[in-house]
Amino acid sequence: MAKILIVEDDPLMSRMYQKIFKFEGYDVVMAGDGEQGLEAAKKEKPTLILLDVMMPKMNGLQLLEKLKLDPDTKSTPVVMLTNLAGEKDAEVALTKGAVKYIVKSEYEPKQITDMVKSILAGYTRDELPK
Amino acid sequence: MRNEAWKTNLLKYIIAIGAVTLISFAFVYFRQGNYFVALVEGITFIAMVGAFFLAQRGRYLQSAAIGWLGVFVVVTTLLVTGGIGGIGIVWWSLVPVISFIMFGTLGGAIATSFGVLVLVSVALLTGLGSTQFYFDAVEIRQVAILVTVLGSIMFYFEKISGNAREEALSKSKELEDSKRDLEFNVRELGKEKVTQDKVRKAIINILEDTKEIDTQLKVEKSNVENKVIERTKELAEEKVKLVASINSMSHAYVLVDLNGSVVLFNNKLIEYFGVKNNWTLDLIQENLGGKLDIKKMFLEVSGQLKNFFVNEVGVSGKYYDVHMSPINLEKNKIIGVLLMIGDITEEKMVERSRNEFFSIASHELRTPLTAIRGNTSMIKQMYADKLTDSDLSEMIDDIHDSSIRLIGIVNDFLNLSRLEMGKIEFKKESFDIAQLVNEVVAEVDDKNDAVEVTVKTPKPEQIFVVGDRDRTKEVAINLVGNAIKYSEKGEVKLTFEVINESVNVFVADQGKGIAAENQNLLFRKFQQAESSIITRDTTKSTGLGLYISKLLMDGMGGKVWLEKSMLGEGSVFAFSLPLAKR
Repeated sequence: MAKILIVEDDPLMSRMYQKIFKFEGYDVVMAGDGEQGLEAAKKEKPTLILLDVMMPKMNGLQLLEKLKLDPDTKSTPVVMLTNLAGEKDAEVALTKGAVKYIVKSEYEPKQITDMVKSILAGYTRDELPK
Repeated sequence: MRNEAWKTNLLKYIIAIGAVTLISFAFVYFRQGNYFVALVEGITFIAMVGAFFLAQRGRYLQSAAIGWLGVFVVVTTLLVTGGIGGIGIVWWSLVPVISFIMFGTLGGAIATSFGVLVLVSVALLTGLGSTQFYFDAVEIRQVAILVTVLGSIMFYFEKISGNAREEALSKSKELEDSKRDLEFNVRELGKEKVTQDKVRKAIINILEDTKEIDTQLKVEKSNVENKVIERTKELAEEKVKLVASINSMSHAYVLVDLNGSVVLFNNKLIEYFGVKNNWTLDLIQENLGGKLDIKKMFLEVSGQLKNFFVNEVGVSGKYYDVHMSPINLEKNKIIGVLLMIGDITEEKMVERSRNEFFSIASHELRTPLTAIRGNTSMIKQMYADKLTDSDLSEMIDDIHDSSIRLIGIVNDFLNLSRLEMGKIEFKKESFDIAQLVNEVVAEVDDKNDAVEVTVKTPKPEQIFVVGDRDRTKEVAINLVGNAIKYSEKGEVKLTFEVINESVNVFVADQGKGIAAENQNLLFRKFQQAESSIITRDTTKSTGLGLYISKLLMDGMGGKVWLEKSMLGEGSVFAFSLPLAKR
């Protein structure tokens, strides 16, 4: 079973995503800020990381950078979650190695789990992370 | 002169005739053997020839003298010898000739007296019965005839002299006439004098008038002077008002002449940048942070009559707007350049906080809204079996729909504020508009079953345009979404048209349509095509959709417009983008 790390500081959001991913049958690991996220990413070795952009201590983009620099975590697919619908953020995230950029308010939770599922399916089919 | 010539000629002819006669008689007497008489005749002939030539040269006195010399010789001979038969007295006949020629002169008087004396002497001697002097009766007749002839000539001469007198008389008449003329002239002059008097009077009048005019002029002048003083006072007041206005302006005001020297400035300039000794464009440029090339602006404004407006110049935490424009007196003629600088720091702060508020509010609003949307959605999904109560299910649906609508509104606001702040950057990418339209229709369609959405496949099937794909998609979603929203039923038809390097996409619906008078409300902020704010359909939109679509299309070089609309028949909206160059 795929393990999803959700790095999200807002409890409303984190609880919601935790519920839906659990409901969809994923293992879910939660982190409340960037630092915890980095720790959890190293420790838990998730299949995929859902990463919020605006967070205290270390923001999502900074954490993404660190994850991509660390050989242990650099091949883990990262999906950015945000409510900042800015193009620039999306482009920055994608150049830094994120596989997708999801604006939270645009989608139902179920749609997000579907997207994650298809990303994982792609990885599984083509280049399964080692 | 004519008379003189006549006399001269007569004299010449008489002497000539006398000379010819003398030489003829001298010749006759010489043949008869009367040698003494022939000699006298000959001497007299020589005297006559001399007289003739002298007369010919105009020397009358000498000529007459020589003539008389001849006569004297003859007469003396006669007196001494007692006369020679056949000659003698006849020669005396020249005396009256000479007399008349010398008429009016002393010579003439002596000649006449001498002639008379000789005649009287001869007459006396003859009367006394002197036999010593012999005179032939024929000769006496000859003398009488000669004297008669000469007398006639003299009479004629006298007549001519009379003519001369008449001439003199007529001359005196002429003089009379000229005298009359003169008198007339004098009279006329008298009249002239009257006229002159009148003129003089007129001149005096004029002089008096001039005096009056002078007085009037003086009055006028003083009036004008008063007016000037008044006007000057008014102008001064105006100036005070102007200066006061300039000083109380909210902007720094700088008047620059055509040489680029600061001529006038107001207190605001000092308020902004402090007291300076000598304001120059360089100094102002320096005080504005040096990045803005004020001098170059000045050259373009004064040279090309451009207007400049720089809406934001930041200097150490302050913001200014800078306006520069030519001061025109008439078209294309300027007297200087006006530079205005405004402190817009406060507005900038307000604007920034407003934008930040928008951005933060939007973000902060969206998170809880997303939670509402997500959770209601999950309730419906995860607890579908527990939602047996249809009212409860409907309530959860409503909460869910509300959150979606709210998210839409917040998105509109956020987009709008970013668009209006110019913070959205548009990509220039090439994409297939037909594919995009199909994608949009697939996403938007299934929401209203009563309306059928169709896309007419264009030819060619792929049309590549240049623009920002995501923004174009927003516009397409807006137009197709509106078409569905405002149609109760019927068809929404999308068609393509390639025209002049660009492609038009038409979205035609069969909805209620828009009244002509409301059509110009479209594409404006917060406007729905409804006449009144009360009748606006708030369930359907904020009224920002078309406005945002317009800003988006403008931003990427496209257009969006209402092609046509009829109440009850539906509307056709359209947007266009430039074709991609192959």
